[in-house]
Amino acid sequence: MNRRTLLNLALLIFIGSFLSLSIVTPVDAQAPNEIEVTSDYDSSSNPDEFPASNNLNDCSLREAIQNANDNAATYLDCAAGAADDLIVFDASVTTITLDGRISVISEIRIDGDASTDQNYSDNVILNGSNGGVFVMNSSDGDLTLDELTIQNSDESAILQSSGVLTCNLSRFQNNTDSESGGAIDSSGATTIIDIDECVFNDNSASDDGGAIVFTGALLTISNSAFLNNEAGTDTETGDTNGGSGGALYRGGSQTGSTLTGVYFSNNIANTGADSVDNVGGGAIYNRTSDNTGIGINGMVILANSFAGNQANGSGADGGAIFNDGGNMLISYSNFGEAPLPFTIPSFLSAFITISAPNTAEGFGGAVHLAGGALTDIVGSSFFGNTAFDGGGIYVNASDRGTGIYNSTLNDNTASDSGGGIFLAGTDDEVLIVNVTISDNNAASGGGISNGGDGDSPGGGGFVGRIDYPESSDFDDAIIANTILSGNSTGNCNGASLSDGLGNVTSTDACADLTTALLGSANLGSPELTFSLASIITYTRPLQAGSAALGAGRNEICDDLPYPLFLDQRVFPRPVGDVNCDAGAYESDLVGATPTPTATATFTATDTATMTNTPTATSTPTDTPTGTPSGTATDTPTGTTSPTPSGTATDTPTGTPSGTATDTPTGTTSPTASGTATDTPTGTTSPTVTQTATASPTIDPSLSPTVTQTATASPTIDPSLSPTATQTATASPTIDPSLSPTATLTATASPTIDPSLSPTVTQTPSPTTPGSNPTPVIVIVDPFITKSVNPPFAVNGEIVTWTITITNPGTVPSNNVTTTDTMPDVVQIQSVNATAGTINFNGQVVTFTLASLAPGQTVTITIVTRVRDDAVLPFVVINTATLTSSTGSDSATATLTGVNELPATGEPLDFAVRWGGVIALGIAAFGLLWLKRKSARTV
Amino acid sequence: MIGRGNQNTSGAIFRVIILGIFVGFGFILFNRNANTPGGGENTPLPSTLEPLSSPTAPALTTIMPGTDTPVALQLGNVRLYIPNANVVSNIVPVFLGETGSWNIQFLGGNVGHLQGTGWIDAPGNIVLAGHIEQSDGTPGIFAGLSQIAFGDDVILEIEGERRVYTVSTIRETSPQDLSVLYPTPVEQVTLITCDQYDFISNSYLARVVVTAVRVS
Repeated sequence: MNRRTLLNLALLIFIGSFLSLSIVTPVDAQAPNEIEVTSDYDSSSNPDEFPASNNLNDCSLREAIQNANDNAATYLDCAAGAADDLIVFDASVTTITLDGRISVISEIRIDGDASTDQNYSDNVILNGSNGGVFVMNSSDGDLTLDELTIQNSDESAILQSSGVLTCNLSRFQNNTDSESGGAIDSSGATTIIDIDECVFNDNSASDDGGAIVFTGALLTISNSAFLNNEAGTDTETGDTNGGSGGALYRGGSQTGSTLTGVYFSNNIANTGADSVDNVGGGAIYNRTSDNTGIGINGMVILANSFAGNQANGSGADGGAIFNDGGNMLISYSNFGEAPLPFTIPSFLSAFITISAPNTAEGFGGAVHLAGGALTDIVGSSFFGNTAFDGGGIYVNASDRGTGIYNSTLNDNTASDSGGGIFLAGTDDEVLIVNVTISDNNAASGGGISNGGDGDSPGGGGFVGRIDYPESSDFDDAIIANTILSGNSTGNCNGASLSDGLGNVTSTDACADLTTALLGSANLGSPELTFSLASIITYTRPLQAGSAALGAGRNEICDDLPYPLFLDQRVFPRPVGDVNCDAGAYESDLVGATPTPTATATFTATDTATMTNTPTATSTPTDTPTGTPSGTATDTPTGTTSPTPSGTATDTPTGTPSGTATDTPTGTTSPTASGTATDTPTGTTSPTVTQTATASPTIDPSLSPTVTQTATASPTIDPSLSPTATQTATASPTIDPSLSPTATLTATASPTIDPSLSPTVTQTPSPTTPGSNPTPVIVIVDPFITKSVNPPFAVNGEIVTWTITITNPGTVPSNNVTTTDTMPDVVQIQSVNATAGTINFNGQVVTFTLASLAPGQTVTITIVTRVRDDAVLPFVVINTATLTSSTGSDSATATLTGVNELPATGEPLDFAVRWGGVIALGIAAFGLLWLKRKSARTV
Repeated sequence: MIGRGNQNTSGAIFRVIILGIFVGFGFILFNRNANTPGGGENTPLPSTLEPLSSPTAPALTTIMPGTDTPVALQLGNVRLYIPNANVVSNIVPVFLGETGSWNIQFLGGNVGHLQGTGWIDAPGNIVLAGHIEQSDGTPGIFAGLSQIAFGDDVILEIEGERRVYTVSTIRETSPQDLSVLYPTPVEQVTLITCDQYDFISNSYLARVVVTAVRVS
């Protein structure tokens, strides 16, 4: 290499390196290149309708996309393409029927409606009836669909094997495929799908995934709906695969999928008459080959709603979800009937009804877990679902470990076994903690039916902080802090279940739960929870006198992988009692009996004395002594002989029975801790003297000075000696010598009332939920909640405040008024309420309603816009107040105004930033000088 | 033709120039390496977390909202530990500042908890931010964030007790994407740092966002 060549090479290296430093393509810094579609013409063989015209009024979608793909003006009918293209439509273009799929190999966004009105009816419609709509097979082909309606495809509307597909405010309807994925068929190791506020309705596939089949890398769906989609439409004899995942089939080895705020309604998986096992999933079928942990390489389902989904056909399992070996976290979601009305998001209101049970002809009316599935179910509700076995949940995931926490299963039905839950596998290792299983129905095992082996002993281990010994049977299921109540036929049946303590069962006991507290769970009607704005679940509240109040074990409910210190409604626990309540609902009511656990500590600080006189009829254990005196005056009549006379000296035998029922009244604040052990001693001098021959007639409740005359001759015991004197045994239970300040058994503890203030201090104090402002709502009658979306906003951004007012009581609440003064940083755009009258004056929003019926909920929506001149950053805490005839309440929501995420890269110092460049500059200068010099020399 | 004398002189100058090129490139590459997440040398991590010594733990000097007075604040004995990203750091509060965003002027080598986002032991989104590099070009506390992978542990230790979160998403987004701050129905940690350095504006054009959900 000669010097000239070397110098030129060095110079090129320098210039190239300098340019590489200087020219940085900014991220999203430039507006995309816009191409307007002006014609609804489409032909795959002749994309240009009028080749000679080159008229911008003849720009078809296919031409526009081709220009975008080529980054050039391949078709002069359309504007030239660039690296980042936005395709929009002239108002005259409303519907395009495509002549086969259009290939997308560049970064393209297609916007079918200039507005963002969440109104799907004015989207541009793309008909795919001639072989679908789009194909994505390039890693550079990222396609974003904004406000488009893609319909009537006779093959998968979108076929994706690479790239990123994004769906916003778009709709896929009535697309079908002869194999899988009527709307979207996505496969390949790197494909990504991101769906937000999209609706998939009436799509179908002969095999799997009526709407979507996804075996790609990453799937995210939020705030969307899947309605009336169907898998397995080809169910002829011989199709042994059937069709799984009426709405969504997910398979392959992936990096994770998340579904947040998604509604699945009336989707169907048909398995066919001769299909094999492990098919179904009316809404979702999930199967991945990579299981490394909950939510990882698996599926996370947050705040979803499943209603009316069906797994039809022989052996069809999982009416809503079939999880076949994948990892799954189901949290704060509702399956089945919605017993109370609630507000449907506005973008879905035209499409959706979500009150219907999920059904499976086979196993698992709502959820079916099989094939080594690792699944946790948290804070979710299952109401009214039906199946052959496992009306709510069916578990057949041996040795994998399924967790069901803080959830409610109510009124589910199995025609065979396990109305609530059916455990089918050998050693399923299911952990059921703080779950309410109530009023489910089955031919056997209305609550839980265990089809496992029930072998014992199994291995021990921890549930919460309780270490169960090796002899504990953890094989099939361990149940703790759980309510089993009112299930027919029977709360439990089948093989043995492990008793994890803290359980409550109704009088129809589960034989294996030896330490379960028997009694009435006393559950209220299903209650809608409002813990977070996007969470819609139901549970059964505890009523006064419920045996579940304070029956749980804190060692369990405060230390599990999921936040069991918050109940299903995300209310803190424990409250009211020292211990948490059993079941999914933490009540602020206090249990009827104290719970003498070692960890509970009470400290009473007042010194009030007892002023009442105990009148208890508690059980005496001593035998009264002393000599009764007095004379019986009874003279029995009739024909009985002999006629008693004289004084009876008979000492009654037997043990008086009865329960102490005395409740001290007045200002008593017992200073006692633990259990009082008062036992009446033998100091009683019963002065009751009865002369009678019939001891059963002596009334033990008589006061000590009463002389009773027995008159019931038929009861006279002829064997008694006429001179016998009988000593009453009743009076010893009343010990008049007891000091009024005496410590009493059982009667003392109920007076430990955490609500007493200020003289009583309870330790530990009720749990506080931390700094997050949203989860905790204090219930009054009626109550109000408030939220803001988005909670972080920039100038000019639309911010929606949502207020709900609910009357959970049993009587109407009248003259309901809500006032909300909006902060100055926002400008009110509109106000709306689902009932009553609402208006605004300036920044003040006023809502009035004459009467709020029991159970009724009114939702107020205030749409605001962050003022352009609002100074960022800001934090405003806005309060809405509620007044009514039955109570008042208030709720707050916090809006933070910022312009961007923090700049977590500090600007470089001058020397660091320019040092290298200066050095290269010097070198370049030298090179140029040398080059010039050598040229002169040559 | 090139004379020998000229050739010797030119050769010396040429060698100096080539050396200058290499020095220049080396300087730039060094800085770019420092600017690249994970480009710095790995530092050994403790096998177990040592308890924080609160009396001597470094405090953060920051600006309280509505004031101009620097004050020293520190969240009580809270530390972030990400084994696979070489992160062991105290967590300090970061308040909103005059820049329209959070004031990280004094964040230094700490990890900051953004005011108004969630906190430990409650459902919500705990948003933590850290520098990818310092102004002198040395790696920031989150320089290794790009090494993190799905399923990796993210550990928050408060008062000696650990909460473990598992990485569930890793993505890059624009600085204007505020959705990463939104509350979540389950307890989640969101880690934010910068990416895509722009030499011209001397700033970063993108943000790396890692989320991790609570598992124990």
